[in-house]
Amino acid sequence: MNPRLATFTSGLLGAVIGCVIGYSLSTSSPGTRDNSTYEYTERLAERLQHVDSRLEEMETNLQKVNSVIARTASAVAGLTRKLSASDSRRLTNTKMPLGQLSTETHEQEPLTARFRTIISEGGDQLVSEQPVRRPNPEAEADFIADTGLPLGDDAAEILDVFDSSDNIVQLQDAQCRNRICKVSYLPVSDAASGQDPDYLIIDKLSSQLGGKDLRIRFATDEFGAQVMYIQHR
Amino acid sequence: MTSVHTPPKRYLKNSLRAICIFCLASVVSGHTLAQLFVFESRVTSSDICNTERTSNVTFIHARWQFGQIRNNSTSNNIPVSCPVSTLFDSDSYNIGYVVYNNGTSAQTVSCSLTEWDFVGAKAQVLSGSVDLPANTVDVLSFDNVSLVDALNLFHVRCVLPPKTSLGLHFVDNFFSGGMMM
Repeated sequence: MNPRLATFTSGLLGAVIGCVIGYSLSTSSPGTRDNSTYEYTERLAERLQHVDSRLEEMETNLQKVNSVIARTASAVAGLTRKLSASDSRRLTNTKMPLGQLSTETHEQEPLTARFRTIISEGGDQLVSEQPVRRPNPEAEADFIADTGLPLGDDAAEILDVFDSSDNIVQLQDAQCRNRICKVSYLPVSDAASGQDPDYLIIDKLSSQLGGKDLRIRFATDEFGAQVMYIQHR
Repeated sequence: MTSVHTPPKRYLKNSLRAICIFCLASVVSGHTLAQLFVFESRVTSSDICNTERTSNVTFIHARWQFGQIRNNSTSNNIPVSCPVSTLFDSDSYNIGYVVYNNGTSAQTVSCSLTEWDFVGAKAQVLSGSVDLPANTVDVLSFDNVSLVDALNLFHVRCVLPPKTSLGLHFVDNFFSGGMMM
């Protein structure tokens, strides 16, 4: 075959194939777009459902907080009444009979008990500074499977950071595998200048590891201690 | 005299030509990548950042100027905190800051990108840092970062050593696959 004719024929064939594929894509365009829009709408609907469930969860929590506040208010009102009664007694300078005093003491016990109940039932919800933590099954699974980039000598450095941070955290347990470290700790209440102990530790880790990029995930363990899962990123 | 068989080079040339024509036909029919993906970006200055629980002595060395938050101290580090806007929906984001060292000695700026969940718990923290020789500028970025949960929020906390500053802040989803339309 003449080479020029071969070139021309293959070029023409290419153009025809290109046009046919281009045309088929252009005719299939509305369907693809519809599918994408449908998927996008579905994703939006899923997220709305998610938001809805979160709102319900928040509403439940708010109701709990409301009940705690109501009980606290009634307890405070009771205490105020007792204090004003005590003040009036002090002002009139009347001595209480011993029997009455013992009754007063007896009456105060349920009040203290009520406060204890309030604090044990929902007091923790009122403390906003406490970090909210949950178990983190995904991070735990990664720890068990030992996934991620190799830590190498940095595992020892990570443990050193926690060992030398007695003023920030109280170390409970620390385990490093080849690619991930799991450290359980309790934050020390008087951590320097009230800063988040997690960030103080992260700053130290960053400094100790020469600024290497890390991924850190958080959880609580079965004993209530806080947990960091530390990996290279 | 003409050869009987077309040389292999010609096949290659013809194939390339066919591919070019196909691409041309695709462009003509309006199927560019830009139509399949939506790339978004947000850029802001770092004067939206604030200092984090610093003492007054340290606080007086913080400056907000020229769209930057700067540490003018000669000896103290200042931790700063910045909101991160992810107002567009994407599977992953690139988040970065332009960082400056205006001092005469080398410094390391380190940042932590925190993902907070709906009830205020930390989902994850990614840490990164950049070494800056004297009088230099660089970018500290967290590339291709995905939220554990789409409803969560990002937040950046950086420790600014003396004479360093955070400047332009950008969030985009370039190169990471935008949202399908």
